[in-house]
Amino acid sequence: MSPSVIAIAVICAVVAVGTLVGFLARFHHQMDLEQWTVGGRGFGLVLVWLLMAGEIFTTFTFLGASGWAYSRGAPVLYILGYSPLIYVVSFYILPLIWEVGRKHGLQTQADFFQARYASTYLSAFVALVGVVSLIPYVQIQLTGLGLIVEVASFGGIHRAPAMIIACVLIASFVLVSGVRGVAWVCVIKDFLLLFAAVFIGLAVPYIYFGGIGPMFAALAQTKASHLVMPGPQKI
Amino acid sequence: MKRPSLAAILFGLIPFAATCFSVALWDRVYPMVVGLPFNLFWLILWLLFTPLCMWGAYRAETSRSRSIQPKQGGIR
Repeated sequence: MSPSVIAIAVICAVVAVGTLVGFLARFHHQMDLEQWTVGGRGFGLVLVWLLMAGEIFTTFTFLGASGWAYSRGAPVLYILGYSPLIYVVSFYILPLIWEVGRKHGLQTQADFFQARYASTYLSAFVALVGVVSLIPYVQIQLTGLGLIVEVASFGGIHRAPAMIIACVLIASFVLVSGVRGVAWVCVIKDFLLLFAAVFIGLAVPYIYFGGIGPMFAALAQTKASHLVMPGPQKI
Repeated sequence: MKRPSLAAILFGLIPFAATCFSVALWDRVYPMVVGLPFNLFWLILWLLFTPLCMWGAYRAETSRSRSIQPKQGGIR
């Protein structure tokens, strides 16, 4: 078997399992709108923890972050800085939003503005801004997905079909299972991404430099300015 | 809705002070610690310390809400 065939088989298996889990997530739940949008407000502690921990891993992890670290160096460390700080800020805000949402039966951002300001125009505007803002994000993620599939399959699956297939599969299990489908597929994605990231992050330094320490030592010797923020040299 | 207590906010400010507001103080390559440049090591260290600070903030919040009013649990 050529590497391309093996790679395509692995990709298809992962996509098949993910899609199946996406559809199965609906089971044992009476599906109404509240169940579809916010999981009946009943996600358990472990699932919420997995989602909050795993949601920071996206195609950005493999393309944007690593590419930026390679081309620009230290400024990419902002990811390590802001990731924990998000949760610090969330600690003071999100429980209040959750409480208000439960009390008033809110399901979307627009619902919140409707309840708070009693203005249909404002809430419609909020919904519109939310959707429009998501379009470039989805666009970037889908492009990243297409690139990754194309490279990972050694060119066996082209970018456009990969993006279309992914779009159709995701849209259908989201339509069927709502946020539960997204959540459980995310858990699979989180573990796979984390495994791949840790594996690559350890394997590449060991194969090319003999370890993480030697890699940074070599980098500090050849291009120390890559390891600190741009500006007057300090090192 | 209630505002978070001062103690909880102070706990939350610790990671901000250590990473966000003090870049010039820790942004350096040497001394390397466990093979990592110092800035990378520092940020990873605070990745571990931040949950401790938030545990402190959580303790400050729960002890206060218990003393003021019995509050039903958040996430089921």
